[in-house]
Formats: sequence, structure tokens, C-alpha cells
Amino acid sequence: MKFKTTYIAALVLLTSLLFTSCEKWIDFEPTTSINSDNALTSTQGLQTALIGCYDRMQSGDLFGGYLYVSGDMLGFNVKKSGEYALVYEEIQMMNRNMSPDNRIVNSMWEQAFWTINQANTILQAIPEVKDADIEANRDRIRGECLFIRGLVYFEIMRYWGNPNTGEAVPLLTEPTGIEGKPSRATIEQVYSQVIADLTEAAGLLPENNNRRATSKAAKAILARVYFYHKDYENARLMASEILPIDPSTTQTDGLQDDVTNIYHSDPTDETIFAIMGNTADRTAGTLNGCFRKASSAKFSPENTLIKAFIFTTGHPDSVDQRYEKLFTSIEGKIFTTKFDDLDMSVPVIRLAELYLIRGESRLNEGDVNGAREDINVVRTRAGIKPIEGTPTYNDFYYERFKELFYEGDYFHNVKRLERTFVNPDPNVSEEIPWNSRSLLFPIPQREIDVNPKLTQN
Amino acid sequence: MKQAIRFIWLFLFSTVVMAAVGQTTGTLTGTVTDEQTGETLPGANVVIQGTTIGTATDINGTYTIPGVPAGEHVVMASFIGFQDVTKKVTIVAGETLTVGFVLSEDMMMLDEMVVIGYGTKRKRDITSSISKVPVEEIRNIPTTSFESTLQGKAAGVQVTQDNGLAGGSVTIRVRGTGSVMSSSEPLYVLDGVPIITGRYTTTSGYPDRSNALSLINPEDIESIEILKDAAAQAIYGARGANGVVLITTKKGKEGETKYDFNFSSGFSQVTNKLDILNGSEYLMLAKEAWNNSGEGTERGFYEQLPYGIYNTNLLYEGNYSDFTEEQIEETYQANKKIIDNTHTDWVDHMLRTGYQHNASLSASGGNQRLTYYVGGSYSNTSGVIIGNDFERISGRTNLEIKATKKLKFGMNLGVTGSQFVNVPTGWAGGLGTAQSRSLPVMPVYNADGSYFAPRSGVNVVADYEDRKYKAYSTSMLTNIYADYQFHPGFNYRLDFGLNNLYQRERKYEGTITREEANATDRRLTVNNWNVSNTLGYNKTFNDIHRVTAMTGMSYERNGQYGVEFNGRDFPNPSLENPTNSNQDKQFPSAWQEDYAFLSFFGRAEYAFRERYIVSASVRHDGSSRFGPDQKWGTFPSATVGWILTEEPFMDNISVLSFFKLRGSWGITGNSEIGNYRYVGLYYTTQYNGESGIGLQQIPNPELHWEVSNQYDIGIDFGLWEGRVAGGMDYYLTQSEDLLLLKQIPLTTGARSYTANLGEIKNQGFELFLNSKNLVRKFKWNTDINLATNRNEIINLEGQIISGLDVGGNYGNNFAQEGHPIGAWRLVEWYGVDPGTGVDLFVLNDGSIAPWDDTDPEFFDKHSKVTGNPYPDFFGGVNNYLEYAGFDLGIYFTFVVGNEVYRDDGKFFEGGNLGSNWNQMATILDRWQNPGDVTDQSKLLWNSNVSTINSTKYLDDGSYLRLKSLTFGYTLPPEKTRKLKMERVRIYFTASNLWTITNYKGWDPEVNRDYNYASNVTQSVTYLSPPQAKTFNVGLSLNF
Repeated sequence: MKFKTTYIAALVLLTSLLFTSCEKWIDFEPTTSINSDNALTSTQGLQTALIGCYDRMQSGDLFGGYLYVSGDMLGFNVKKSGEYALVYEEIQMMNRNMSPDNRIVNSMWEQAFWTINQANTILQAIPEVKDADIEANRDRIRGECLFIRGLVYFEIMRYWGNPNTGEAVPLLTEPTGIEGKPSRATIEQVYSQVIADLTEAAGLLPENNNRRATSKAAKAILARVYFYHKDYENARLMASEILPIDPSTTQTDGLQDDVTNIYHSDPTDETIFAIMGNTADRTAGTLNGCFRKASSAKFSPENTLIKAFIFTTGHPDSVDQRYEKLFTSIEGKIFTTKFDDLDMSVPVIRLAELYLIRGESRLNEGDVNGAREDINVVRTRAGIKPIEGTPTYNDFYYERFKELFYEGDYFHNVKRLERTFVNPDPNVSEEIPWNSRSLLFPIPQREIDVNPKLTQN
Repeated sequence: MKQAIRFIWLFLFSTVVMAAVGQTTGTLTGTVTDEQTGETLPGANVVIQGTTIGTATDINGTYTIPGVPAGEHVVMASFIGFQDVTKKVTIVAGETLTVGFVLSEDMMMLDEMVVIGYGTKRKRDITSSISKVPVEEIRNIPTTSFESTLQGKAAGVQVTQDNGLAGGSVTIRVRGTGSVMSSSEPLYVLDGVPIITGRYTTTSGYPDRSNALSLINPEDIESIEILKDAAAQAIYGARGANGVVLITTKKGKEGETKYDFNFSSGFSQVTNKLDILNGSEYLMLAKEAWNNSGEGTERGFYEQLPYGIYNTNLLYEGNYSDFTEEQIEETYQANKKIIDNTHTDWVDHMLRTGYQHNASLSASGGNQRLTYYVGGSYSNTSGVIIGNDFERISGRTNLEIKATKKLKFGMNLGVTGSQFVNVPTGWAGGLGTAQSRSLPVMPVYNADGSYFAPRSGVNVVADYEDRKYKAYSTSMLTNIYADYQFHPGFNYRLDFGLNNLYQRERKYEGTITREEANATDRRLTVNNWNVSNTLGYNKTFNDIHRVTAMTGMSYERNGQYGVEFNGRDFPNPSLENPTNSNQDKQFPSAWQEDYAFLSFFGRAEYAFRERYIVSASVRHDGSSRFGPDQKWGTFPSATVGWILTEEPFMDNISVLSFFKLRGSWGITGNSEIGNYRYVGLYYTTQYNGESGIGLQQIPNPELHWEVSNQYDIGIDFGLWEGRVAGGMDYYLTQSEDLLLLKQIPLTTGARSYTANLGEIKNQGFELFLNSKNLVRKFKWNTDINLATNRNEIINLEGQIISGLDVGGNYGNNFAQEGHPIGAWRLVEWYGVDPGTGVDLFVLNDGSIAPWDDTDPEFFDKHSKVTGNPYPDFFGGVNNYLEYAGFDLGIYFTFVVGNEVYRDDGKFFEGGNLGSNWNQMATILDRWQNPGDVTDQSKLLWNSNVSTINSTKYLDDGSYLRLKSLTFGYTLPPEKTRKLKMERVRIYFTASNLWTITNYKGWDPEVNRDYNYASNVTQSVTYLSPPQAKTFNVGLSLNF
């Protein structure tokens, strides 16, 4: 009997030892991620979260690709190249019958709101951080968050904003929490918030910021926002704050002599703000796949774009370097070379666009000479004949078309001008009005499923 | 030790004494034969009861026991599968007595030991639902992973081989799917140790994964038991909710060393080849579509052919648009001639005749102190899809040492190395692309011998040649145990198990098919260790009251550590290691994850007169996967059993030789989600050289166990002394607090978080029958098993969860209240309008109309939940015949009443020819003229068909399949004896030989998705690779 008691005692002892420390045995913390409790409690935390926002803007569904290409697919600006198969969400866009579960539409919504939420989370966390580094960084971090929020809201509002109902996307200026179910704000509400954000950002941001948002970038985007809001006076004023010179003088216009310099990893002075790319981080991957011949480009330029270069150059002898240098003919087919550098940074806004913004704004305000001077800066750099008389709205339309092709402007510009999208296929007679529902991004179905306050576009 | 010395001393002493006393003993000899066949039984045990004297019959079935003390004895002869026979004998000193035994087969096998959680139990005493798999029947079926052969072998266990890849994975569902997001795969326990399972290869581009279970050598398996109801599973509480598969490896038995050699070899082919358009059919239909859509001239059609099929510079250099009209016409005619004469069968380029070779040798035996089993095997399988190979070498040593009468310890050790060459399939390329996007009018090679369009992604031959991928795995599976019977009726057992998996994946993709070569080297270590202490008690009082009890604890810990190194751009094509790539283009990454379970458990059973049996168990589990206040769960169970045939009043019913009524209830838990799901997390990233972080996961400190309440009632019966035996079960399982992703608006910055919500119900009926139709010289057995399962989502708090939401691929499966999990949301397809040739659909108001492109909500308005990925019933029928040494096994499996959605159908059979997809030959029946009645719509160049998810592509997935056919011949004993062998058998086996189905795709046995998503995204194909049928011949020797 005695030995049995000993053994049982030993076993009981062994078992009770386990009990005393057992909680530790089944308690592990993740080692390759950060616990959210302490992610944003220091300046370093805020700063890295801010970098995370830029990283997300790189996504192939935002500035890395579809934010630009979607408009060209919807607006008859690209055609299937036959080099590589399209996925069906692209086919839907090419056919202008996007379903509410279209993956590109869904992902853009997801990436955009992820970025907006993270910017809002940082903005909310800034006052809580009291460490030694915060003084020197508080304004800049706030400025960058506002810049990012303003820019992303502006871009998504252009795809989802419904000109027929005035409704846009939910407008969030602070994190909603997991129970948050916001309804859609109006286009006008989004515009005022975007303008407020970018205006404040312009005041907070520094001149130079390691290739991230600067005060100049905020002003440039603001000029574009005013321009698209048809507030041409403010568009002109804002553009003038940045444009290096008055083009009537002989000073340098700030544009690259060779347009191909723009589309590389290291942005030139002409680019005011770009989403950075390099060998390790191929921002332009989606754009490469869409346009670059060596990447089995999915798309080749539609004939209307080619014709714009051939027929509107001004006079027969001039050579438009944007056509000569940014297009190539391979095995009898035409491709653009704008996105040929795999490591390129994706331009978000360039000086050339600001000249066109200011020029067209001046034309709207009746300043014909100023308008001519501005458009000619762009034309001269391209190597085509300057306009001598009064520039027309059509001149500006085509100049934007050619200067900014595949940089995310064309589709929205046609809508701003309330023009009609025409199918270039001679066998098909198809005209789509600028405000057609078939051009609007649907609200993702899964979003309506979980948030009944949202209405379909 | 003292005991041992005492024992040895006693033994020596008695021998010496006996020798000294002289002739006080006699000899007992005789033959043991089989009553049914009259043949002798080698290896039967003959023991003189109450002594340690005994022996086993030799190869001729005879035994001789010398040195039996004179006097009266009771002698017992026993043999596995036969009923014991005892005889009284009287031994006279110095004489030899001959006593023969005739044993009759124990058809019910009621005394057979069945492995249960933390122990074994006599079959007759079992009161929960446990299936013992007839391992002998599946032994010779060639497979790379043992669990694939379980198909149709256990009622209620649905086994689906994901595809025909050698070394590929298998999906198993025990009594349906009880979870939306957490794993529904059963727990596998080998020799008492939970083992590593799952699919660990993750290199991008290879969606079909390796299978950790393929590292177990099927030849080493002695028995497989599947715990199906909660009462059986509850002892594995935390882990048991999806069923438990208990694998026991072979052990040595006392006696001479026995050798077992097995060799088999054969070939394999695809079960079915899909009929797709050839070159001229493709051109004919594509032109028709081109004309139907008014796209332009026939020249325009040829000119637009993708990937440079139309070579504008075939005759003249320069820009096509600068050509003269004559040059264009000449170029066109020259191109047309070439294109019209190109007929590439891309699928044929991706398929081949596979082969497989297996060889294994083992030795087992032992003495009173030590028993052993040592085995080794080699297996080499070359799959039917070009490039897919699986090779495995494995060894196993199982030892048990009886140190004293009371103390034994042992070790089971298995070591395996494998090499898996995976190929992309389905949407990822290879055979999937060959069927679809590789057009038959494309040549494989250009005239100069180089690959045609190698970078288009559709020249699958170039892709295949330019790609290398191998996964090397090494696994070690060991457990060490000690068992000490420290007091009569009490024993203590300590188990320590260690399961390691080391895996290395290497990938290289060259510059023929891409600009920059890229390479990956990915290394993964999984360590799983487990320690358990159990204390057992077993005693029968007054021959009436039997009490069994067990209590214990276990701790299981799993760690996964990995590094991956990617590199692009190599200075020389001979270099394939990522470290040799351009230093600016090297990307290393590393990860680590851990989880642990700590558990305390107990079980008690009481039997009265072996007639009434009650038992109960409880397990208290802690899991690292839940937050600080939610870690622990308690999982009880109870069973009752009543063996009616033990009742005196049943004695008159002689037909009924055994009848047991049983019922059980239990609660089990499921925590098979990823690790750290309750914590809020930020991931790390970088932008333009600066470090960044981003929101990764929303916290949920309330996250807790998913629980299943399970009820089971069943009977087991035997008629005519077990000539017909079987059982039935009805079960109901209600899973609650499902672990799933709660969908939230993306405006929150996240898509979802892991939460407990919802309820799923599974209920079903199972039947298994075994009939020994003929039992004498000509033997014929029939096994039948059949099961139904109804799955219904009772509550999801209104959520509609798609396969995409839980990380799966497309397929339009959803989890939605009131429907089985994985039902589809589709618009009902009505047919093709004979007047216009367009597809018609049934709208929500019952009217019939074509698809409306202009309405972005058309699908959401008119789709409804339809179809069921689960069969109405499924099972298997096995017939086994034996005569004069010949044996024949014919084994069918069937699945009836499920649907399979061909997600590729809308591209592959939609008749949208402008999409540059080849089409199934079924579209040759397309609508052409008004009045044509057909189910294939008018061909169009650019139609919206690719956006249409309708029932047009929802097929009946029922099938009946001759899963295996085995024909063998065993040499008669006299010939075997001449060869100094115990048993010699040659056999032929064929699997997946023949299938009846109405399914239109490759193979109705499909399961496209894997891991968590497989609960929602199931029974969906997207160009999935087909199964293989195999033909094997083999030889097995025992000596």
C-alpha cells in the first residue's frame, strides 16, 4: 500500500505543478506582427503608419494601375492587344457592364477606404502621443494625412460620384469603429472636405519631404480639384502659386526637354508628386502589364489616340515627341512605351498638367493671351507648332488628351467637359453620354450587404 | 527490477528442479485446423491455461509442447479472427499426447480490440460510433497517400481526392461540414500522437498543394479507426469536432522473425479526356461568331488572331499599315494557309502515361522481453500530368520492451523523405491553360524551332520546359512511452511524441517565358510535440461489475518557422539559386507561428453483467488561439449501451446472435482557425525605402471555442452467428458559436474580423452491412455502407458569406441561412430561345427573359440560392470472392444527388469566341437558324456571357465508380512450403477503372479549393485536373 501512495502523491504533485503555470504554456504573442494596442503610441508609430498609407496607395488597384486604367477601359481609350488575355472584370469594363461584384471596383473601394481609415486613425492618435519627437513632426504628419485623405477622396469620388443624383461615397473624417455604417455623402460635401483637407495640408507640409507629400504637391492637387470643380479662378490662382515662371518671360518653364525622362524611377523636377517605384517595389507592375509590350501588354492604344497625334500636330512637318518617343510599332502593332520602365515611379501630378489647368482656366476667364502662353509651353516642349491665334477648348481637350494619356486624366476630363464617349469601331455606332450610368462604378455588392445605408449607384 | 530478478530466479530454479526430478512431464502435440475450409492454421496459439507454457503452430499448422507437467490441464487454442476453443487433457509423464483443435471463424469479431482515444476496447463493449476501416482491403491499392483509399470504406466518411496529382491532397469530411471558416478536416492521431497534417507547399503559381499525410507509408499501417460521434471524440475534446482518425502502426509479436515483402508496379492514365474543339472546328465557330456579331471581313478575323498567330511580316518587312493592298492580300493568303493547317492538341502535350513502383520489406518478431517491427519502403509515382512526380522513401522501427511483468516501455519511430514535383494546374496554367487559352490554331514552335509566343502565357509547352519546381520533405514521427502497472487494476502511462516536418521548396522560372528569371527557395520547419500522462483503472468485481476508468493530461505544442528567399534576374542561365540573382532584386522573408493546447481529461465506464454499459467522459481544454479570458473550454460526453442478446429472454431468438442498442451525447470543440486571431495586429511593410506599418487585423478579445452538440443513436447486430452483421446510426450535430469572419463595411478599414456567430446543423443516417454469403471452399463476402447527411445553416445573423470572403477563389458558393453551406447563388437558366438563339433566364417574378446588360443589379435581383454540393447519399459496395487460392475484390463507390458547378463553363462553353478561349466541343450544337432547338446559344464575338453565373453550368455530380478491382492468386501451402515461404501472392489491381456519370467536365470527383475556403467553395471546378486510373501488378511474400 505504501508504494502506491507514494506514486499517487508524486503524480498529484506533478499534475498540480502543471496547473500553477499552465496559463503561460498556452499564451503566445505574435512575433512577426505588431499588437495594435501599441502600434500608434509613439511618433515612430505614427510615422510608420503614415508610410503604410503611401504603401497602400501603390496598390495595383489604386495609383499602381487600375485607378488610371479603369477610365481608359470604360472610355474607349484602349483596345485588347491580343498579347495577353484579359480577366473578366476587365472585359466587363471594356463592355461597360460592370457588375456590383466586379473585382477591380471592389478592390479599389477596399484599398481607398483602407488608406482613408489609416489616415483618420493617425489623425486621431496624434494628440495622444506625447513623446520627445512629436513636436518636430506633429504638423508634418498631420499635413501628410490630410493630403492623403484629400487626394484619395478626390480620386474615388470621380469614379463613384453620380452626377445624376449628386451622391458620392461615404465621407469619413475619423475612424468609424467596427460598428460604423455610414451613408453616402454628396459630391459637393466631398469636394468641400477635399478642398479643406488639401488647403490645411498645404499650410502644414514642408517644401521638401523625402519624395512624399509637400506643400507644393498639396497646392498642385488642389489646383486640379478646383479645376475639376469648375472653379477656374481658384484653379488658376493655385496653379500660379506653383508654376515656376510666367511663360511670357524667357525663363525656363520647368518641363523636361525629353518627355521620356519623366517615366523613370527617379522623378524629375517636372513631377510634383509621384508614387515612388524602384527595383524592390515595383509600383507600376499593373501598368507595365497593361501597356508594356515586353510584359505581354494587355492593351494597345485605341485608334482615336493615335489619330489625335497624327491629325492635330498643327502642321505636317512638326514631329510630336510624345508620339515619336512614347509609342512604338512592333510586328506591325502599336504600343505605348510610357510604362516601359519596370522600376518607374507613377506620376500623380506634373507641371505640364498645371500649365494646361491654368491655360484652360484663363480661357474660361477670358484671358486668351494667358491661355495661349500656357498651352504653348506644353506644345513647344512636345515639339509641335505653337498656337498663334485664340486657343479653343478643343485645343485644350486634345492637348490634355495627348500630354496626359494613360495618366488617369482622359476619362474624367471628358466627363468634366460633358462630352460624349464614342465607340471608335467603324462597325459599331455607339455613343455614351458623359453622365451615363454604365460609366459609374457600382457600389460593391458586399458593401451594400453589410451596410444597408448604402444605395446602389 | 527486484521483481524481474525474482521472476528470472524462479524460472531458472523451476527448470533446474524439473530437470533434477526427471521424467515428470509429458508432451502435447497436434494440429489446428479451420472448420470451414478444413485447412490447417499456421500461427495459431496453443496455451496451457494457468501456466506460461505455450507455443504457436508451425507452417503446417502443427504444434508441439514438450515439458508439460503431468496431470489434468485446460488447453486453449486461439487464432485471430477465430473463436477460442478449450479442451481438457490429461498428460502422462514421459508420453506424447496428440490433441487436435478445430477452430471456427469468429464472424462477429466481438472480441476484436478497437483503438479508441487513449486506449483500446473490445468491439462488443463499444457504445459510441466508431468505424474500423478494413485495412486489408485497401492494402494493395496504389496511392501516394493512405487516406485516399478510405473512400467508401466507412459509413459517413466522405473522401474526395482533390485532383489527379500524384502527391496531391485529399479532403475528408466526417459526418458533413460543421463549420464555415475553421477547418473541417478530422484530427489524425498516429500511435497516440496528434500528427502534422495539411498542405504546406505554398510557392505562388502552384495552387495545388502537397499533402503531409503522404509522408506516412501505407504499408506500415496496422489499423485505422475513425471516431465519428461526440462521445468517441470528446476525449480529444478540443480537437475532435471534425472526427478523429486513429492510425496504429504494425507492431511485432512474440515468435520467430517474420518477413513481409511487397512489390508492385504499374501505369496510370487520365480517367477521361474532355472533348474540346480542334483547329478547324475552332476556326469554323470563331468565324461564325465573328460574322454573327458583324465584326467585319474574314481577313479582319484572321488579322485579329492573338499572340501573333497572324504574322504581318510573314512576307514583307515593315509597318503593316504602310503595306500596299496587294502586299496585304498576299500576306493574308499566306497566313490563312498556315493557320488553317495548324492543329495543335495542347492537352495531349500536357498529359502522359504515368507509372508507379512500390517496394517494401519489413521484419517483425520478438520474444517475451522484446518485440519489434522494422520496415522500409520506397515508392515512386509519376503522375498523368506531365512533370508531376512523387517519390518517397521511408523507414519505421517499432519496439516494445517488457522490462518486468509490470513495466513496459517502447518507441515507435518513423522517418520519411519525399520529393514532390508539382505542376501548376487549373487557373494557374499547365493543363488548365492547355484546355482553354492555348488555341488549337497556335503552333508549339515557330518555323525556326524556337517556341511560338513563349511569353504569352498560353504556350504551355514553353512554360513547362522553362520551369522547375521541387518540394523536398523530411518528416520524423516518433513516440516514446512507458506503461507501469503499479498495482493490480491500475496502470500509469507516459507518452512523449514528436513530429517534425522539414520542407524545402525550390522554384526556378527561366527567361524563355519571362524577361527576368526568378527563383525561390523556401524552407519550413514544423515541430509538433506532445506529452501525455494517463492513469488507468480496470477491475471486475464478482464477475458482474466491470469498472474502467482513466484520467490524464496532455500538452501539445506546435511551432512553425519558415524563411523564404526570392531572387530575380540571373547573370547566367546556369544559375538557379536565388542567392545568385541580382542583389537589388532579392527578397528574403521569414515567419514564425506557435500554438499549444493544454488538456485534462477523464473517462469512466461501468458494465453490469456485460449487458448494460454506461460511460462518461470530460475534457477541459485550453488553447493559445483564444484571448486571455476565453482560453478554456469543457467538453463532456455520456453513452449508454444495452446488449440485448445477453438477456435471458433473448435466448429463444436463435437467429439473432448479437444485438446492441446504444446512444450517446457529447460536446466537442473546434479551434482550427489561424493563430492569434483575437489580437489586433499591424503588419510591417516599406515604401520608398522607409519602414511602414498597416492595419492587418481587428481585435476580438471575446473570441472563444466553436462547439458542437452531438447526439447519436445506433444499433449493432449479428444474425446467424454473424453471417450477416451490421449496424445503423442516426446522428444530429448542432455546431454553435461558429468561428467565422464577421463581415463589416470596408469603410471601417477592414473587411472582417474573426468572431463566434451562427449555427449549423448536420443530421444523417448511416448503415453498414457485412454479409458472408459463402464461407466454405468458395468464399464470398459483401460489405455495404451507405450514408446520408443533411447540412443546413440555421443561423448566420443574416450574413451571406461567399467563398471570396473566406479567402477562397471564385465559384459563387455561399453560406446563407436556411441552405446547405456552399450552395450556389445563380440565376436560373431556362434555355435557348429558338427564335433568336439567346440564353433565356427565369426572373424573380417567374417571367422569362434574356440577360439585361444595362442593369448592374440584374444578377442580384434575379439570382437565387440553388443546388447542393452535398450528396443525398454516398457510400461503397465491396465484394470479395475467394476460391482455390484465387481472390477477386470488386469495389464500387458512389455519390448520388450532389451538384458540381463548372465555374469555367461561362468561359469554356459560353460561345464567347472573341475571348480567345478554346471551347468545349458541346458548342458544336449551337443555335444557327431560327427554329433550332438546342441548349447552346448563338455564337457571338463579344458577349457578356463571361459575367453570367447561371444554372447552365450547374451539373449533376452523381457518379458510380469502379474504384478498385483486385485479382490475386495465393500459392497453395504445399508449394509455398517448398519455397520455404509462409505465403506467396501475386495480384493485379486497377483503380478508377470505370465511371458512370452525367457530369460534363473531366471528372465528377472534384474539389477545387483547399484549406478554410473549402467549407464554402466546394464542388466547383475551374479547369481542374482529372483523376488518374491506375493499373498495377504486384507480388507479396511472407516468410
